[in-house]
Amino acid sequence: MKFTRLLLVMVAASMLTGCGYNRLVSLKQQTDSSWADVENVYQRRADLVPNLVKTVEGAADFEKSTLKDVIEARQQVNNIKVDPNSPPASPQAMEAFQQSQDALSGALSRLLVVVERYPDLKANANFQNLQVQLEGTENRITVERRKFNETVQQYNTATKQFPTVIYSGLLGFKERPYFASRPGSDQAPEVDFNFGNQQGS
Amino acid sequence: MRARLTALLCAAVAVFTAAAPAAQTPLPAPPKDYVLDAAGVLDPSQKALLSAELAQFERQTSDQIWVCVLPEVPSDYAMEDFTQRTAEAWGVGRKEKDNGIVLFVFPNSRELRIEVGYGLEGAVPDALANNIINREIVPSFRAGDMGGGIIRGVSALMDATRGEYEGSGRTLAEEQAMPGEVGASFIFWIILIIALMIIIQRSHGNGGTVYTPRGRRDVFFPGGYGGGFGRGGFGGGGFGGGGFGGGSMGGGGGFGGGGASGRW
Repeated sequence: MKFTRLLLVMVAASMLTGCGYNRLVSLKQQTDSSWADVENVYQRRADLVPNLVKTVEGAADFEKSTLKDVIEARQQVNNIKVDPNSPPASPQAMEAFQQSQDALSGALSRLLVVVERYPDLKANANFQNLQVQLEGTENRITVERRKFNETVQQYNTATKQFPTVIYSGLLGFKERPYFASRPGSDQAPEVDFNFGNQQGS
Repeated sequence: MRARLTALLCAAVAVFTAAAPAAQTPLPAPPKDYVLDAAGVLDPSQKALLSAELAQFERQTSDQIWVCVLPEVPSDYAMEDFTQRTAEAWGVGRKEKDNGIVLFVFPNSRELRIEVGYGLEGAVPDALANNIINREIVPSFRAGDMGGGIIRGVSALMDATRGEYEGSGRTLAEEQAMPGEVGASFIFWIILIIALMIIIQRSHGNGGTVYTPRGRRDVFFPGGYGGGFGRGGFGGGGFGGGGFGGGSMGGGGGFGGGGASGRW
């Protein structure tokens, strides 16, 4: 009697865990693939920068310090090496990645504020095109970051659920770091082109 | 021991059910005919024309272009956040192609946005979406012709996306209504279940009298199995249309924030 009950519990447990393990694997893969999407949109932005810099440089005596900030931030982004196929494992690595990207966001939005003072540049078709692309890319970044956080949340929750929590650590299903939300990052995309309400900092 | 196990199970259930997200304004319900006009800027003939054109366009190309006119963006959302979430929640476009576009118009705040699904970002890059907004739509809006602007914008979007994908001659809603197309997997499951039953039947050893033409049905669903495996068993559940975006006529297309915004 006792034995059959024990057997029942064991069978039930193994069914639960089998099911949970597969779910963990698939959730983990989802976080990897949404990380790839995040990387992809950040790369897309980084690729826009040289073109943007060239276009802006073409405008007569454009304020040099703003441009320099953008170029430096772009290099900083390049210096942070991350695996495009898997999110940074530690919160510190994630923070470093995020900091470099946010610095580029800031430098770009300052550049676009300064451009306001250069009517010729603003009217330049090439620049306008780049501006639209940049705006779209910032928006994509917001979306993909949000999607990434959502999948990581699902995954992290799953690793902490009973009964998966018993073995998730043993099998290498470690908790994954989120993107921390920046002040204002859950509002609108970072580069706001309605300059009326934008401060230059 | 037993109390502990119960407690553990209760905890597991609690964790499982405690995943309710923070309350935000609910997203609008998807329209049944491509056009949601909650602000009343389209007159009925324009709305009917748009719906008919967009259905025909979907038959030809399988792309879904929808229109959403709301008085304003709910105050707890930024516009781009709201439009992306709404388009994705509606599942505009097919799941495997992500070929949906939604034109959002918010007359009270004089804002608009074209939200482009992943699969059409090549056909409608942001710069093109921006041009459609500024050259086709905004001039009409400024002149006070909301309906005309929306129609011009939609037709520009159709021109841009035509040729990107091949249509099946039917809209998604029409395909779902026809069991022959989308029902293939359903039929597969029925065949599989019937085959399983035959095997079970045979293994039960009373297979000798099984295959007389008249008695066939009784054999496949003998008394013992009848209740569990009758048609009612899977009609409303996993195999129904419920999987498609909660009753939306969208196909589950994904959106990554592509497109452009504008104001007038």
